[in-house]
Amino acid sequence: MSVPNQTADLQLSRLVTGNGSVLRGPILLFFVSGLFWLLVAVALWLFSAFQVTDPFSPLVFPDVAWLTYGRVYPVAMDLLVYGWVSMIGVGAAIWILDSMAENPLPGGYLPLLAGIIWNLGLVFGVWGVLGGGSTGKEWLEFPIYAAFPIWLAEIIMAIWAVALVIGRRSKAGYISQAFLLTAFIAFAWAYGSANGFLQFFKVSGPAEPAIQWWYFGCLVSLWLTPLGVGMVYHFVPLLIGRPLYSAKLAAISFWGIVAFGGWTGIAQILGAPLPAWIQTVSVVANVLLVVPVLAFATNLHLTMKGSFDLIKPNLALRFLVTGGLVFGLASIWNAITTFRSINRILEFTWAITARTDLFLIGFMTLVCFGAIYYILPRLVGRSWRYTKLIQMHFWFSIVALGTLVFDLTIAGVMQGFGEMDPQVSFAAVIDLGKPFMLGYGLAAIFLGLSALLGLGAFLTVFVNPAWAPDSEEAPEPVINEEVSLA
Amino acid sequence: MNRLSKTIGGVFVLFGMSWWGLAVYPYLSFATLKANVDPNTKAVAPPDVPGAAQQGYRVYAANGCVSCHSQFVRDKSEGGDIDRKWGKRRTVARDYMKDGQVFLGAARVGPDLTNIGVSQKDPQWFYRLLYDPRLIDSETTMPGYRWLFRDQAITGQPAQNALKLEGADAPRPGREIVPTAEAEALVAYLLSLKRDYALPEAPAPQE
Repeated sequence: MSVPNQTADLQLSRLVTGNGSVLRGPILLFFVSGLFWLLVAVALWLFSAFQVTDPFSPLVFPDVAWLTYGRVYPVAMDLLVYGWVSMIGVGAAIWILDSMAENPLPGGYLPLLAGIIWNLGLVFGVWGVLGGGSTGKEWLEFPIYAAFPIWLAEIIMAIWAVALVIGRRSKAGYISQAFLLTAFIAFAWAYGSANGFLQFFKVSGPAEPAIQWWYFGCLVSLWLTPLGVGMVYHFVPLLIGRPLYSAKLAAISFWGIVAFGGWTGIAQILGAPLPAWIQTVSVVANVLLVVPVLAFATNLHLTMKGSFDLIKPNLALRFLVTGGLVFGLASIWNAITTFRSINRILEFTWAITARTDLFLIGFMTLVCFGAIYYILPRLVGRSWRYTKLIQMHFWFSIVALGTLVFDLTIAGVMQGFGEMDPQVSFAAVIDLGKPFMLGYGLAAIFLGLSALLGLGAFLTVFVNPAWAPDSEEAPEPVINEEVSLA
Repeated sequence: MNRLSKTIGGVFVLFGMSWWGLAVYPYLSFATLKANVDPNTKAVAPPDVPGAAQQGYRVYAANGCVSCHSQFVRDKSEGGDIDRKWGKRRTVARDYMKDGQVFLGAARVGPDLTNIGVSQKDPQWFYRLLYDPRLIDSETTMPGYRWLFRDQAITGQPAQNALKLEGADAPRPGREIVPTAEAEALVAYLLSLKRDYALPEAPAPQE
């Protein structure tokens, strides 16, 4: 099996606004909705963080069903995944696939239609889960009337993407194309069959957890990961004006993620009532997944070598590269915490939550903002004026990520060791993590601030100075004007 | 084009393997599970889930109980669940074969509920816990679920399942707090969570 060659990604650097006019609508729709859902998600997350930190907080409403923690927190997480990172990922994927195809766009209304249906699905989902229609299965809480529109929108996008790639004028193949197509195919398959099995066919009880956590592995490793990796592989070479360091490493990262990704989810529930081989295979897959992810991170690092200076002035690049390198760390941490000797302590604790947050808030969110900062000025033909705002946004994102992951991990470790000792009552176990849970609330505030800064940066682009595609100046946010990015 | 179709084909094959192994295979193989019948006593394990409890799945799912409570006991080699007395033995697939829905959970902000029906047998205990968790444990972080209860005027005799509440929680004179049908279903479900029978594939570890 071979993998498309990635070097040609570079030649696209000046094609920027080529087909922008047809796609401006759909991409903007996906970006604006993604940011909107991010704000909703973070607000609900903040709300739920205070509820779980302090039971006496005035934010606990024992009389109001739809404000209870068990409904608010899942909605926040689902919006973060299906609203924020997924929609930005799709928006960026439209941009990337289109600019690589070099076609006058066929069926530009399809992504627009998909965006509208997707949003409807999310609205139904929020309504359904807050209103008491949750399925009670983590990451699949959306009831069928919400899951179906999202799935339908994704199918439309998958068909559009495959058709575009098959009918593309430029016959060159790109690594990011391979990743994005994989994402579209895998998500359509995984989300459809997981919801089908669990909500439509009503499988026998013991099979539910296997299907549910198989889906989680696919969601993370075959939908979000390929979207994020695809964005990094596409934008970073464009921004530094240099091809990817190694096509071989890119091929390893692609086939490794595709081969191991689907098996990783069961490790979230080790010790579950499932056949032992399934659990062992899942642990092994999580460990093996480090190889392709490190191949990706190493490739990124080697591509950037000698160009790391550009991270300072070029803010889009800074988001993308930081996100990509965080992904490398996250996958190592993921493998370490999956080992049974460590998992038996940390399982069920906040440290495991932190592991998922590191992926979502560290890798995916940073990369998504990087993609926005690259695409948006080219899309609307304006460059950035308020780069300070974006710089602040970056640092707030890092502080929020650090506080969140650090606090939850420490809380989880305390909790885990407490739980190992049967002499310590369970109430005392929860108490052990409490001081750190205040940090969780703080992290949620930082997250909220960073999302607001991101929104502010997004909105200011519309009042920014116009930018012409043939101008020498880079349209993405660059702090120091003297740095040229030829 | 050829290269592209190879790539897509490879994705289908590799991804399909995980789909087969983790979704289709469990779906097919768990459908054929049979209950264990004790050769001497003819007792069937696991027992059937009472009808009232089956109404409780929806309430348990709707309120996101799974966000904080797990429902499986790990083997001694996998964690401290048995030492913590959350079960005498690990849970296995057959424990869940009669459940219409399974909520294993992946977080323990609260205790595991696999055997909550073994340790608590009084519906009143659950009603009080759901109405105001602080009545049971003053330190708990669990929120109250008061919308699962109804404040109604006492007509004739007080309702049998009316909550016994004192102090600030007590209803006004002439009124009583009673569980709604949803609360009754949820509590019936929680009471049914009893994996205290024996299964040959999961012997209880020796002390």
